[in-house]
Amino acid sequence: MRRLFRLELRRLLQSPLTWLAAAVTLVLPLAGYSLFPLLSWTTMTTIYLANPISLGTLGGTLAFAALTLYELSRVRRFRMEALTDSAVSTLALTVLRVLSIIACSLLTAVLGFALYGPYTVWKLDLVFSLGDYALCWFLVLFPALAFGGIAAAVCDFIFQRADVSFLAVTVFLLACKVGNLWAENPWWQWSLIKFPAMSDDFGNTLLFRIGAYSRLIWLCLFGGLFLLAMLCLRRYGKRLCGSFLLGLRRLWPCALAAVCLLCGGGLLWRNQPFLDHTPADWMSVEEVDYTSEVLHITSTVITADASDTLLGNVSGSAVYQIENWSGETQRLYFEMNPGYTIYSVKVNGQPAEAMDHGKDYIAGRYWSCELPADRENTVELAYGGMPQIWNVNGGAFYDTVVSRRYVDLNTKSIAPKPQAEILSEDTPYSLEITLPAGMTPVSEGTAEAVSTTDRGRVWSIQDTGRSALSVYAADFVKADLEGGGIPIEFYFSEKHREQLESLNAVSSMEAAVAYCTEHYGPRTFEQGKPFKILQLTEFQFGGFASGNISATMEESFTVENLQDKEKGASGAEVLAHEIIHQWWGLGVMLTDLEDPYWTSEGLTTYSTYRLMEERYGEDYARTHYLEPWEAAVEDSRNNFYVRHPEYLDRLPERYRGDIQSTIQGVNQYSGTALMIKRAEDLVGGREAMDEILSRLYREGGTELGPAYVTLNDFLNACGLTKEAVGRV
Amino acid sequence: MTSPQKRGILSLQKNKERMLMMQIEIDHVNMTYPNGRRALEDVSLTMDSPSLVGLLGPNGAGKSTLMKLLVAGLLPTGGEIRVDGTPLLQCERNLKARLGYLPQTFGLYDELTVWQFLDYMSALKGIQNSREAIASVLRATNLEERRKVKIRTLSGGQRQRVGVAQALLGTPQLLIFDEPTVGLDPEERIHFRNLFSQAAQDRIVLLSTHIIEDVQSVCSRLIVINEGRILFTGTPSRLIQMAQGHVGVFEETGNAAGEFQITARVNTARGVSCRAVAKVLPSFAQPVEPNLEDAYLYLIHMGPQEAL
Ligand SMILES: [Zn+2]
Repeated sequence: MRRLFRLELRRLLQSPLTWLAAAVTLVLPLAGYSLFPLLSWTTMTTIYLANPISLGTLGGTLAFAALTLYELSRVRRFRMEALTDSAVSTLALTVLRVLSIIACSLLTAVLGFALYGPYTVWKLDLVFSLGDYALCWFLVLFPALAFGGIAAAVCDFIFQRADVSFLAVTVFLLACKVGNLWAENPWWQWSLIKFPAMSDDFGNTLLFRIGAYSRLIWLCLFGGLFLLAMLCLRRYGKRLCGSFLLGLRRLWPCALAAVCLLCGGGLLWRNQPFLDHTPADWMSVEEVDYTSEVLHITSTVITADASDTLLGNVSGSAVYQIENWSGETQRLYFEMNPGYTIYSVKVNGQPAEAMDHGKDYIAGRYWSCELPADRENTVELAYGGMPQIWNVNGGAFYDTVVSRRYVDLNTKSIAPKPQAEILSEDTPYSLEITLPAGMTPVSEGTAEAVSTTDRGRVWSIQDTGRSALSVYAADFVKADLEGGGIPIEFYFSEKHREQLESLNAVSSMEAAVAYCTEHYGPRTFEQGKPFKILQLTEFQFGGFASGNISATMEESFTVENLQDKEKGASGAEVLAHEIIHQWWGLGVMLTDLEDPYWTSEGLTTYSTYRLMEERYGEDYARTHYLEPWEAAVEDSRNNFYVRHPEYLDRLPERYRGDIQSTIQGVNQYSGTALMIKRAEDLVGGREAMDEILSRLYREGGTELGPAYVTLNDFLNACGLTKEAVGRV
Repeated sequence: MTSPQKRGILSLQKNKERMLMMQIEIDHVNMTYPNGRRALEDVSLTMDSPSLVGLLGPNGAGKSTLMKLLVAGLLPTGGEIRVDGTPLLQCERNLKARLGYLPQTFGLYDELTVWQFLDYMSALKGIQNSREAIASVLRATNLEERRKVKIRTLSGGQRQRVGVAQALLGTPQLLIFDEPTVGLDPEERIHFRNLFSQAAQDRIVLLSTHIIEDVQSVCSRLIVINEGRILFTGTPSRLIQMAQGHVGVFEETGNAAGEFQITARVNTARGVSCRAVAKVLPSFAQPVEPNLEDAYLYLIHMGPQEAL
């Protein structure tokens, strides 16, 4: 057997077609850099690793399927069956041939790993991670090539036709990748795993965990299918059915193994531990508010362990002091991550029963227990499990995770969150959490390292007036930004320390904070608590602000973003732009139902310009902001396709998309900023405009509610019309 | 007491003997194709090494089917084939390790050279000393000069020789040739006949053909098969003996009638001389000494009951 395998492998390695399949797989990544980027996120790792790997993986799957079909049909094409079959069993030879193709696909991955290594290291520089790079080649690319070969072999064993089989594999691949039915589901992604983006600074553990799990599912499924299809190989002059029945009789252990593998794959699929079971029509699900008005939390003490970086499991115990003001027994509800189970409940020292209400809703699920009529109650819970993520969009939000490089546990993933009122602003909340070593946690409360164990570092997090808090931990470095009146803490990945220091970013961001606070008003947060701006993983998809925590995406810190001239003249100015988003974007959101170019970007860009004018003078601001804006708008106006939109429709979709997004970008940033600048002149200058903006920031708009400012809200505040500012 | 070493040598020798000696039993084998065509009916035979067995029969008689059954290319629908007493399906791998087979119709990897092709086949067959083995079969099949030529460019006869060469690789204990002389010129035919008879000195060579000359002088045993049934099995002389008194010649006059089968017409000075076989020779026919072809034709035309 080993001899035959070596023979087949040697033969394959001498065949130019093998090298062609490898070349297709290894050349396509080049096109993934900029020609056909499959993912739209702009972290460095997405651009220089995820995009090339994605394209290589998809192309390689088909290339190796084609190679497999070519090799399997070769015997038929040359009518060599009779001769080879007289020397060795066709079955053995065919299986070994498929195995040697798989070996070739592994060699291709090794080759790709080596070839692309230097460029990737050079491009990703300080955000390069050898682990992620290796996983991309050996967990993402290699299994896809192997599965392509196996899928092709399965089809060929059944149909005995290369063309039909290739069509079948291609259709299957496309159906899983772009079909409405399956494209959103990570478990259908047998070729390229579900790949929303890649994080530069916080690891991609969940991406690879889900990827590895889906590889395991398909290994079982393809293994089972392969064994079953093997029985269909035509032997002894019999046709499909005859060969299959004979195969069943003579190779029944194979058939048995096939059934076991298929069942195993099905079970793995059905019981996947990563995604919750929120119904697909979650928007129409009526949310029940279980919060009790007669139950009051008077103290919370949580001990949690989030140091399991292998599987990402969390375990913990929680002690809640609950006052029951009703004088009757009450049901106390908890909301908890659906991946967790409550192992035990004790109410006032007596074991009680925890009831699982079982309906997942946005990475949450309700449990409950019975509370006696006593006024003062102590509820003790032991809980744990692997935190699940919301299954929307196939679980693209790979945010809740415990990993070596990043821990992200939101409120209901830290501990069961009791659905009861907080007694007062001073109600103590205490969390003792064990985190992997080398991490700094950031949360709404104040964190302090208390001890080091062999599992990691134990942190004590204290806060008041809340029933739950979130913990984000990574290799965070803290910078204090002054000038906002209240303490502002800025946390960013250690990886960017040098970069930010060299940009003198802190002073630039401080200037932005001071400018916005002075001109628009303080960023309002919970009283007396420091405001924390956090650099967070790309998998959050858009920043967020909650309580005294505000997140800015790691995207803002990429070399490419820092060189984005539309946002600022230098890296430090781009970071100022990102900080100004705390006011325009997170403080109030700028959006318009009719005008797609009225977004938070325009006003943020305008404010950046004003800040730079204040810092470096009018000349600087004119040359670095106003003039480039005018040039960009002029350029875009002169763009052939803007003047002749009818031709735009005739372009291939890809070019159309590129041109449209360029035009859109110019209009959102420079175009809208210029429009605001025009409005500034019309309302009577900078101070008048600042007053208008300050009011809009503090009060919000009216059209869509106070959280939003629409174009009309803005124009009304200015007392201007669309015509007057040239926005028609 | 024998030393372990000695015991090893003994068992090796025994193995060698077993490798060299071979017995194939075909036991009441029936073969009906999925389309319903009945190709073999209750066929039983035994073949021992060494022997050169000629399988004779008209086209469609079931010769190829029988051979495919012997190389485990087909499964019988009834009966059993045993190799050294073991049912064929249980010793398929073992059989293939000792088998050289030339099918009636076959393709070759046209993209390879003769040498590459034989190298691939010898690797498939697991032949240890492939370089030597290939050289020897190239010599035997007169292909030495063509060894570096792509198979695509070979003539029909040369391809046939490559087919024979691959079957001979590694001196297998069982050689099965299905119509090996098709497409060969007379000289090559004689060469191969000698080759087969040489090969058969220590193994079983089964040779199917519909050309009598191929088997006439070399085969130690003949099997005549027609319409899926064995009509005769025995030595050529025994077959000839059976036709004794059933072969005659006569001048074709136009009024010669009777229960006979004309097997040859020869133009002579006196007119057309006919050679015929008959159960009972007509009176106008002059009995002659039968040759193998006469005997074969007599058997085919008159049927087994009459002959045996
Ligand atoms: Zn922005």
